Amino acid sequence: MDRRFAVVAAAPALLLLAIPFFAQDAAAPAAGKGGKGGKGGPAKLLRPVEPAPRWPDGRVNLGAAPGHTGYWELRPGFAGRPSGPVPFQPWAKALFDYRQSSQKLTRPPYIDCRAAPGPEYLLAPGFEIIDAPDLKRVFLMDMGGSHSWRVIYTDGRQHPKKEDLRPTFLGHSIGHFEGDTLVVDTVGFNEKIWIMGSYPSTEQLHLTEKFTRPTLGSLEYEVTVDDPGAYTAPWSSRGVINETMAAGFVPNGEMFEYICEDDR
Amino acid sequence: MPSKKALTAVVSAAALLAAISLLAQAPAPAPGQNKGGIGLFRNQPAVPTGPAPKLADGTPDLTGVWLGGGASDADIANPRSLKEGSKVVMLPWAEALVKTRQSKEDPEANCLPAGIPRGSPYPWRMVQTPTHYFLLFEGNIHSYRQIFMNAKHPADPDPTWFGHSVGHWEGNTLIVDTVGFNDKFWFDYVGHPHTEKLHTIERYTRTDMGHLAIEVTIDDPGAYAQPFTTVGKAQLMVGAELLEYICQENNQDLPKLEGPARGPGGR
Amino acid sequence: MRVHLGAAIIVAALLALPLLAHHSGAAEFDANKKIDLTGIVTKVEWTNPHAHFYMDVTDANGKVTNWNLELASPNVLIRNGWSRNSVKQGDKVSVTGTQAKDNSNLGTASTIVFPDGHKLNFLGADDPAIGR
Repeated sequence: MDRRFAVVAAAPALLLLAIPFFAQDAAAPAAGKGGKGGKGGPAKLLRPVEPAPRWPDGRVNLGAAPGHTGYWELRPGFAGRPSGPVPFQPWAKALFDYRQSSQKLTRPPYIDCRAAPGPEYLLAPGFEIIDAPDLKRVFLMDMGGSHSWRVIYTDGRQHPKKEDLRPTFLGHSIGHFEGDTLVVDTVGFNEKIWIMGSYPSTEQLHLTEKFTRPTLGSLEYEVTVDDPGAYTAPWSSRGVINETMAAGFVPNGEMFEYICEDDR
Repeated sequence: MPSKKALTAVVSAAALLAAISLLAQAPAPAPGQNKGGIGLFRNQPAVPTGPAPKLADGTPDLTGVWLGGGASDADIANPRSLKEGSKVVMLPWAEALVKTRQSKEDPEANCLPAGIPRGSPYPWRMVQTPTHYFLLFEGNIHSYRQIFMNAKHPADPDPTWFGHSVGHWEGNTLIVDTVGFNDKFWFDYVGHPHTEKLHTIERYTRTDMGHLAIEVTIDDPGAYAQPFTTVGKAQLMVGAELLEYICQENNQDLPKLEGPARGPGGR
Repeated sequence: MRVHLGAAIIVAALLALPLLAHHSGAAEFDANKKIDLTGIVTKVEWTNPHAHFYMDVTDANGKVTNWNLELASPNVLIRNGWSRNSVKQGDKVSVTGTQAKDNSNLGTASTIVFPDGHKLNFLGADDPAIGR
């Protein structure tokens, strides 16, 4: 069987099983230094470290360099574990426990092909970033999940007023660069989504995501969940892809088609 | 002498059909309706005319939020969306299949991709990078197509819903050549089929700032006796954004669909 | 004859246009089964592929039936003048449309009229100027 199909066929099952196994958390090493891997001990460089592509004005290019292609391959996911204890409100803790207790009774919505926000978007088999400064947008193209696209407006606009905000699966995302980090601010989520596996959320959810690309083949991701309807304080998770990992940036690679609805 | 009731029924049916064929062209507003409208959307900014823009490197600029331009999603054989001289001639097995298809089997009603060239009443966006062009769809399954510019098809592509697309420019026309389709999507609501032999050639020409002429040649010797070409014209939705559309969110209709596959207003 | 033609075109326009969306409307709804309901809105689903609202309709005998009325996608409604709150739980409305072929309490909401006289329809906030 084609390797790709083995990966995608396993993707939903992998996700359900793999949540406790994400090795990415706050102790992630500095990428590109050829140093320690995720769990300590020296890690071998599996791919050469090359500088991150940049636009003429010096700003980092999160996508493929002009004339090149490439996407981020993930096995199985990117940021799946909170960096510390999660400050649940009691109802949210009860719901979380229930979701965890039975994977037969409860299924994350993206298993049913619904688009999933934030870190759920960044799952096997991977995604591609289209950094389009001319359009003043960054697009995230999801390979798995709903095989859909996400737009981050970098044209300086604000979120719509609360009463005009339409609750959606992916929310309304605005972004700006702080040095080499794209900071994305998203509101306007509906209540049909699950965060990072089984974590509940409400329409008050406000996600902040940071994408940093230190080298061509490394990506650092941090997400902060701020939902006063479900949690008593914001909490975060981090993930790293770098050249010491089996899966990562595939230069000159192409995304392939995966249609969730066809796989059910 | 037919009864008045029968006559009324016949005239109503004829009017229905006339209205449907008129309305089946997504970009064209129905008469007397939609002043300043584009497709289903009212009170839109006027579609601009004026010269078609170019990117910094001189390549025609096709970027923007567009509406329409695809083949009639009601019936690909609708003469209004066929190029002069084109005919849709199914092979016998395909003709027989169309007659048996049921509305609820339409993959599109099952939140599966519409493939090429079935249009949708929702806008779409073209994004051009130096190596890839992307078509982002608001509707259908809110997915995307990739066009690999100046590339080659793989020798034996895996069959997919959207196929493998390679593109190049001929003057001001973008030519997109696609093979590697699966045989699962329908060309339209009526249920015109195709096989994995399907090969499409799309031609995109931005005729002015606000209009994108799209022709799609459909060449499938497995299902059709001869190639045929659909024509459409997409209109620019100035200032529009693509909205989210997640088909699986609340698809209540599927269990309620009854009867044979047919255009939206019935036949 | 003219009146019938106009009616046919209105029906076709209201039925065919929006239901180019994602399935064949004629496969689900029966143009000959007209509905004309007045009731109180109990729920609104502002979702794709169709928005829905539900209303309690009380008949002459006091029996209450809950109806499911289908609208175009919010992507169309929003662009045509609706907001998420154009129809709200608790609103009293009068609805005309067509019923599902299976005779269930499901229909399209072609027109929605409010007590103060303002109107919405399946596609948007303006009255369609069709067939006039």
